[in-house]
Amino acid sequence: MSDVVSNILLVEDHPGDVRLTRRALAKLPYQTDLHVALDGYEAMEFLLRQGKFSSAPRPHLVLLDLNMPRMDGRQVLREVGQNPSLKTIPVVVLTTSSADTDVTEAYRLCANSYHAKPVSFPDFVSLLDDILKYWISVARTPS
Amino acid sequence: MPTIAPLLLVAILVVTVILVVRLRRSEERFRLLAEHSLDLIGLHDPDGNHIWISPSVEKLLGYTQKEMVGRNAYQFFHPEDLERIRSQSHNVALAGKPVRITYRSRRKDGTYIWLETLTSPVFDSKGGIVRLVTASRDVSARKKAEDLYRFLVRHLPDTSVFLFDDNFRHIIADGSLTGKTIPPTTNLEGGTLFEVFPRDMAITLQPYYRMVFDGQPRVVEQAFRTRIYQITFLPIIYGEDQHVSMGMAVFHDVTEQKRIVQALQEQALDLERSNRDLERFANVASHELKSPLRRIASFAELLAEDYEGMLGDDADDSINEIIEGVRSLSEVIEALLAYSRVQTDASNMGWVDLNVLCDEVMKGLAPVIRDTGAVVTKADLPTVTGDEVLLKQLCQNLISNAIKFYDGPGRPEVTVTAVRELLDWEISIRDNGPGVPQGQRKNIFEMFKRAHSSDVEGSGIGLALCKKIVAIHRGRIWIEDSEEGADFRIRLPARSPEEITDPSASLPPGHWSTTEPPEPRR
Repeated sequence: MSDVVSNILLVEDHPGDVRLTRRALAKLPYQTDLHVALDGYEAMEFLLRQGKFSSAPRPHLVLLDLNMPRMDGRQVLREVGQNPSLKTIPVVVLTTSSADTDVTEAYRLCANSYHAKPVSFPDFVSLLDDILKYWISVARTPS
Repeated sequence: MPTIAPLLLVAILVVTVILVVRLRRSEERFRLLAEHSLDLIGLHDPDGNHIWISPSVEKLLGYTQKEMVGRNAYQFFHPEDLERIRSQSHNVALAGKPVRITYRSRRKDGTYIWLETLTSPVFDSKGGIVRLVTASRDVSARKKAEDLYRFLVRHLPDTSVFLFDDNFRHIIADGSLTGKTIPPTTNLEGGTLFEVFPRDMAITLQPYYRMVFDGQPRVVEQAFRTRIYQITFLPIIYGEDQHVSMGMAVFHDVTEQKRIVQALQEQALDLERSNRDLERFANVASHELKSPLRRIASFAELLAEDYEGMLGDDADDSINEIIEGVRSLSEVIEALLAYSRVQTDASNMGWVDLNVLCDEVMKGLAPVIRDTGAVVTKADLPTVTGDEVLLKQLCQNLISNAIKFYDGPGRPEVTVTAVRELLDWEISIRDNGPGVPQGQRKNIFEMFKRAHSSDVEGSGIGLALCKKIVAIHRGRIWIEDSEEGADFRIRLPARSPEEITDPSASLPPGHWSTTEPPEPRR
């Protein structure tokens, strides 16, 4: 377990869901800094350190919702995948849909993994625990 | 000059005598031939009076030769045939060619026999008809066979049969279609192709009539006016020389069947479309519903957590109700989604051995069976056509329901049997549970309807799903009366996978559609 604070980019359009994620993270023992992008455009700006995100850190993990206005998660996956410096950042899809077509498409666009958001809060906390444990402690990621 | 007149007279007399002698001599020769023939040979004057008739007349008609001479042939005709024959004999005079007629002739004892007579004209030097020569034979046996045949043909539903010779002249033209949808109505026999059928039909049929005589049977589908016929053309081989002596065309009116098939196909398309719409809708709806649902539940839980003990019991209860409500709603959405996803298409249809399927279901339910001590018995089950995945779901739902809803002190017992009913298989799944009250046997198959209290867990769409699966297989599901417990019956049509994929495909002659499945692989 490292003392390094992990930067996590949450790409999520609904403020309520953002709050829930913060509350869930607060229950977990990981040292995390949560950054928020409200849609695909903001996500790309953050990753490319443009505009208001010019001093943004490079995230260790991206939690990506699929269905968002303006630019959705699929498009983000496409653009990240085409960018040589960005494609090494682990992107985990965290979304409401559990449809097979969405799952397949996400993996085809090179998402690192796919998770459906559980309805119950404790289940959601447990899911985030699994995700963060894996990407922060278990798996090795490019520095 | 006086000497010329008597000379002329003598000359004329001599010529006349010579001519008469010549005629007599040829008649003599003719008589010789005729007396030794088995057929009835006759010589008549142009009006039909007998000048001479062969001795076989006695065997055939019971009259002696003497009794026939001078009498008119038409006298012996059956009155019903007389009119018909009179007009046809006229053709002899007009065409100057031999004419064949078939009619009943009266015997001395009053009975009738069928004769087929070939009448040939004899011309004098001026081209006038001076004699009629007839050759007749007894065709009673053949006529009897034809009559039996005609009787049979008339009683075949929606069918007409046409028997014709190589001149396309009809010996038989009868059936339930002639007069109704194949004009004209009466007296088709003896008519040629163009006399029997309206011109447009005859033109279409002509090549097939011709092809019959090359010895190949053929089945074609042809539309005439507003009806569709399946026409079978058959060569009739008669006699030792194996040549095609006659042709037969059997018309079968298949218009109704075709219309039904078309309606079914349209219905199937509509159903497919509506299923896809439903699934799309359910997907979109469930997706849109999930996010707010999640928020309601999560924030209620956060409330509970943040204000634990601070708001009082009522608040705690309220929060619990909210959370519980969300959970139910979530289950309903999942159930609706699962329901909308129940679909199949023709490529998933195949032979499914229900014995094997049932065993697999029982294996899957092993934990439940073990825990409840349930006894599931099955008799020999058939192999049916269907979507294996869906049928398994159907089977599983019903058997698991039977076990789940048992409320007695002993063990749940489930019996699965099958019986063949005409074109269907009827499968019965009987249990010893509480049964389904008469009044609820219809709407229990609706979504979210339950016959009993919701002590037993379940999404409430199990039976609605079963109904949908059965509908997809064009079957029926219902609950039969039974002394104890519930008796679920499923009817599935016994058809082959080929028939399910294309019910309109018409099979070539000689190819029998099988509704019996292949030998089950053991």
